[in-house]
Amino acid sequence: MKQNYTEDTFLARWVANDLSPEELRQFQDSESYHQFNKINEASQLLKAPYYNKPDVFNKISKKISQKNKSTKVIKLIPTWVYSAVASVALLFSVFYSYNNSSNFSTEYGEQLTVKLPDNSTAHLSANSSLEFKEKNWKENRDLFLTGEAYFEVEKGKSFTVNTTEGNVVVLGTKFTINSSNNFLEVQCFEGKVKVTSKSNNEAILTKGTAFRLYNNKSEHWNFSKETPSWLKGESDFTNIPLSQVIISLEKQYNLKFDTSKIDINKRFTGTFTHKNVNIALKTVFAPLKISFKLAKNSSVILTYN
Amino acid sequence: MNIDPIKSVCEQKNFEEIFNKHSKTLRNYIYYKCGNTQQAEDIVQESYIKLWDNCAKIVFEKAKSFLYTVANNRFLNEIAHKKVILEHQKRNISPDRTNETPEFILEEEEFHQKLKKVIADLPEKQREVFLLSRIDKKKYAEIAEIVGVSVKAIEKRMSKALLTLKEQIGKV
Repeated sequence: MKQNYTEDTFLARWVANDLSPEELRQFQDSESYHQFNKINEASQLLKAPYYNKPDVFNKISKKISQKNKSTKVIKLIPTWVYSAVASVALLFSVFYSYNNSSNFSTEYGEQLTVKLPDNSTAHLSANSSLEFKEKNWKENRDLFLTGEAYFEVEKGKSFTVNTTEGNVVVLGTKFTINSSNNFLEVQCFEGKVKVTSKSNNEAILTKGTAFRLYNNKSEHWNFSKETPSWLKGESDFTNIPLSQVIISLEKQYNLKFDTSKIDINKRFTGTFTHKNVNIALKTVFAPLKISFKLAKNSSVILTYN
Repeated sequence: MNIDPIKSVCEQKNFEEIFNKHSKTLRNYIYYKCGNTQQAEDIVQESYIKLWDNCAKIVFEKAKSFLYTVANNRFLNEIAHKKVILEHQKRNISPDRTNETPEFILEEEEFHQKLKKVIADLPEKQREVFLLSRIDKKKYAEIAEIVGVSVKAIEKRMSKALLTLKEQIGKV
């Protein structure tokens, strides 16, 4: 009876918490219990090597689309129709934008303040762009943003910032908005703003509150600063996925990162300076126990210490 | 009465769902067999491409077992085997703040090293079951489905794996 753990499914049932109380008590009294328990506990802390899921998915999508290209497809509409339609559309849009749109953009590490027709201002962060139509501005305050910006909006008709991930509607307030692929973050510094994501998630923010949408999950938090820190030469982050910090670093310092060996979904809270790239990298990665080194193709390789 | 609409694997959205749900365990499973991440990821890619090619013939619910069957067959064709290398998660995020003695930590570390070595030395069939259960936290029924044998057989392999580990770890 003492050696019952050698029975062919006993240990498996023990691991799955499937033993009867009697069996368990006897097993716990046996000499070997301690050792089995140690093995079981330690093995639950084991981890398989890092798996870069998005990367594998991209490769699969690429291969599938290559395959589709190589199979012969008989077209219903001849190709020239598309090009004709496209050139008409292009002509139209060129004409339209000459007439109406203003376009501002920043390069790596640059910032730009844009005065809008009604004295509202937009501060563009690095590597971002802003487009709006000057005509009829008072009636139709509509902008398109890629990247990150801080807005100080004069009172008036509703003011809408559109991004690929959703839009933000306000009347007169101060707020920042930062959007990139699958990521939208809005912080409200004054007044009230309403955020609507492309998946029709809605949030209303008041002074000192912030909203984030990341991979279709939304988060809310509070903050106490009066203006965004990046206006003063520092980027700050609250519990943000590391991937977004890395995007900000890339935009600020014109870097490329190799993140294949680290977990970019780890959360980060902290700041980095815009003045010195080395200090910036150290402040972000040292606390996460990640070391960085420059590779030949000028990309920065990140690995765990 | 709630009748689910039939989901087509050929639809991008559904295909992506199948990928997100199963690709990690599939990759780990093959890795536990061959110890080569590159090979495991290649097999994952091939299996999903094959699923896509046959998407019109496969019901959404059967996609998982299709993937594992393809991956298993693909694997049998491969020859190269390497030793499985595992990492272990630290229990606390900042290891510099712990109230355990240095000796204890050292012993613990040594034990982890031994454990990883004896796991790598386990026979393939025991190793894949043991790791799917302990790392990927899969229930025996699901492992049985993945490997393609009965639950009872999985329980036997799991018990054997634990016995082997206990025996071997004393010897290292």
